[in-house]
Amino acid sequence: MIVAGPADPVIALRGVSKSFGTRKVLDRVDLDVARGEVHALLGQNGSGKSTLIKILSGIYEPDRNESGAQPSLLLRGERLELPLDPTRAAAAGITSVHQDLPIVGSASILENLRIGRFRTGRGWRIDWAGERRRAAAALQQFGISGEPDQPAQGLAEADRAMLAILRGLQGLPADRPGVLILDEPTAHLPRDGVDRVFAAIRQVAERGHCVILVTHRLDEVFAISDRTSVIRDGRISHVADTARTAERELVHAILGFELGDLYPDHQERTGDVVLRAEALSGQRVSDLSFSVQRGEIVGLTGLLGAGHEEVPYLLFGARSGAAGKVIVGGRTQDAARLSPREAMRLGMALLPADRREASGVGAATVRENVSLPVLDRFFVSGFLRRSRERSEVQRLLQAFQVRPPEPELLLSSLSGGNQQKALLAKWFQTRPDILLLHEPTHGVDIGSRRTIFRLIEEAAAAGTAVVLFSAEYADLANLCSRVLVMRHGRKVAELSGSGLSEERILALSMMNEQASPGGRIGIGHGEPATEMTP
Amino acid sequence: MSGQNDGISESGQAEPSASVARRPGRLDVGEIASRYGLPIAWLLLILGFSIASPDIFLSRANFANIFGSQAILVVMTMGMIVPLTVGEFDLSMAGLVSTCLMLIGVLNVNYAWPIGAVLAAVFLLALVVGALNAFIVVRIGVNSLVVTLGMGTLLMGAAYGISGVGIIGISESLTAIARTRLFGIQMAFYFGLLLTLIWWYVQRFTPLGRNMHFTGASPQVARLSGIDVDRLRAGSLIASSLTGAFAAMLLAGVLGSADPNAANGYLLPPFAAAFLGATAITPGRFNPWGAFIAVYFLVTGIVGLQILGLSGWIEQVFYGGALVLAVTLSRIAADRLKS
Repeated sequence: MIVAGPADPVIALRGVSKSFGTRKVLDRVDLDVARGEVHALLGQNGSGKSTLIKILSGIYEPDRNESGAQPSLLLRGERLELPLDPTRAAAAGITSVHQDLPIVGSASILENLRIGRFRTGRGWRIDWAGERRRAAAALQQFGISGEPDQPAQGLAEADRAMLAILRGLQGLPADRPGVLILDEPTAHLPRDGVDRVFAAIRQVAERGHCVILVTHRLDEVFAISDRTSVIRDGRISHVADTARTAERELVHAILGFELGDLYPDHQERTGDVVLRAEALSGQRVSDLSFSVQRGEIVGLTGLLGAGHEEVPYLLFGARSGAAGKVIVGGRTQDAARLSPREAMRLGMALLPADRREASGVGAATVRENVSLPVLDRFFVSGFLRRSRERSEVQRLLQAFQVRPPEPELLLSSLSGGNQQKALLAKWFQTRPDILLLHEPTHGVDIGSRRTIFRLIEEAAAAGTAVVLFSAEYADLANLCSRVLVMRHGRKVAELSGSGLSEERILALSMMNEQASPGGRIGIGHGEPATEMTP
Repeated sequence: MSGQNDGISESGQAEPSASVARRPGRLDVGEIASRYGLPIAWLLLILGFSIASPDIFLSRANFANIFGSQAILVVMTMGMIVPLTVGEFDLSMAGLVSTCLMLIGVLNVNYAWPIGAVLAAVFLLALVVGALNAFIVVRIGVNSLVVTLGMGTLLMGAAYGISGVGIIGISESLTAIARTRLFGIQMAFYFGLLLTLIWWYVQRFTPLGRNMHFTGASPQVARLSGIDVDRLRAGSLIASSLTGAFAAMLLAGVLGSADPNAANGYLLPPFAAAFLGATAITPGRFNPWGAFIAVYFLVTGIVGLQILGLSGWIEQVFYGGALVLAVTLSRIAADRLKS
């Protein structure tokens, strides 16, 4: 469905095309956003939506058409010359917050917020007192629980996301409508964090600014957006008022075909217990005990900071300060002594949530990333057999529906969803007895999510015990046979059978939390601290 | 380690996307330019000097000199890229070479130790220094740049402490090993070549090499993939120290004497060669053939300019200038390719 845009848009983009080499990523795309409108931009990984917003923020140049109409951009009725550069985009009041939340951890919250915009007093000295006062007010207004002088690395993910948005807001003009572009601002946030980000988005829209929201989550689209555009294969395949659009219609516009069931049929299986945690404790987790059977899919969830995001790293020996016992296949291990190497030897595999920092190396090829845990297989009589390695990786990429299935591409040149499928292949091929998956579908488009869910179900059917650490309640309710809910580092509930539903998980996670939604927590995303500080 | 990572990722941009990634069976001009730019530049340099000075530069003796005289630099560069690959610096090598050299001179000449015992002592010292570097860097967690710079300075001073003046008359069995000529080139060259081959084998054909690369690219990813990151980091620092002792042994053999100033000029050049080499062959990665060619590119340039009448100052100017220029060009090429 393509419905005409608003009569008097703040921003009107016309006829934008972009090619990389011979590949056409955008093909004559139009986009209109009105004053005070939240416009959702959807599409699969690699559909061209990121390219579109990069053109809007002046990072990419649109193609010049050899014939016919040139691309054009009208902002508040004025014609802006394309290509933009980042400085001119910023001066025109177009500001964007990128997915990776560019926050400098070692700098203070105030510095992160104001860098490049510090107000100066006499002799170019920064007016610290004034800056601090204004920052404190802004933090309070957006419910960010932190002090201006505190280092940003102590902030919880949700607060970091809010801080990045707050910084984006400061680039909006005060006296006329500006454009705020948010690229998956909620990708790493649990439900309560999402609500806070939405409240902030509404405030921005109420002030008359346009918000362009790039997201993969359809529930978010319906919750926050006024209008929706879908890009498929570089073209707008759908644009309409969100309220008049059905979810099925959106999914069809994104994929180009009917999705069918997102979740695979789940078979209940029981078998021997292969993994047992006893009195497991870490920074946040305390005294957690649970067990997982062969062929079972078990979920571990909670709000951010509830502790579930720490558990996979404790089980895998990737975090210092662990205590308790991990019992794998009847053999008891001291959690404090476990190392990732040892965990792998015991038959465990871990897919970390942090794709760029903990899961894969973007500057290495897909082949090198995928074969890393099983390199010894290709080391035959003193030589690493590359052609064997390449064909094996290629086979895996095909089996895991990675597009393109090209082992020699750099990992970073794949879209997020395809990177994730390749990294799943990296771990699935080790044929682990126990598969620990931390947020396996974050930043992954809906088609890839469906593939990943099927792969998980297949692995379980083949006898792998899967533990899913996630804050995607709908996924958990549909994939798992049991879900453990954590609060404040402790297990508070175990849901299974008819008692297992998205609503129940949400209710149990949130219980007693309404008083202080998204309270500040000391730990980050769950990656072990091996990085050195200079 | 951000310094090193920045350095390498700069040139790592040389393969920014699908366009430059290796794809079998297709000829890519940009890829060839980025991979073989340095060897081509080296050949052009040789060609230029040959035309400018056909009698002296283009002589057999001169080439034997170019390849033989700077073999120490090849050995040290190979030692240097081992820790660089896993993301660590070893700036203590030049100091270690000085101390080892003086130790060889004093023990062999002044104390008349047999050369075998002397070498055993020297390699033991290198092992201790490497293990100490590794302990402080890996176990305690201090930045390797700082630790090894300090250690190198300490050792440089210790070399003067052992003997402030040069010592001549080092065992002939050692000088014979380094100076014997094969096809007109000193044996030292072949030791450098051998080390390059060994390191090439490790890097390209063993899981160890791949694991080291991932450790350098992302210690986090490597550790979570079951790689014993700390062991590789420690091992690489010990390997570079042992290579330093080997370089000192060759230097003592080539010179036939020990002088506390002899290794002073070797602090920066192996570093320059390592980074310069990382722009070629496998752009974006420290690699032995790139480094090997980089050493001889630098040496050829300096020898050629000296033949053309430029005196001692040219050495450092050329080392520094070539490094800055090469890294800059590879960056510009990468940006061009991207757009």
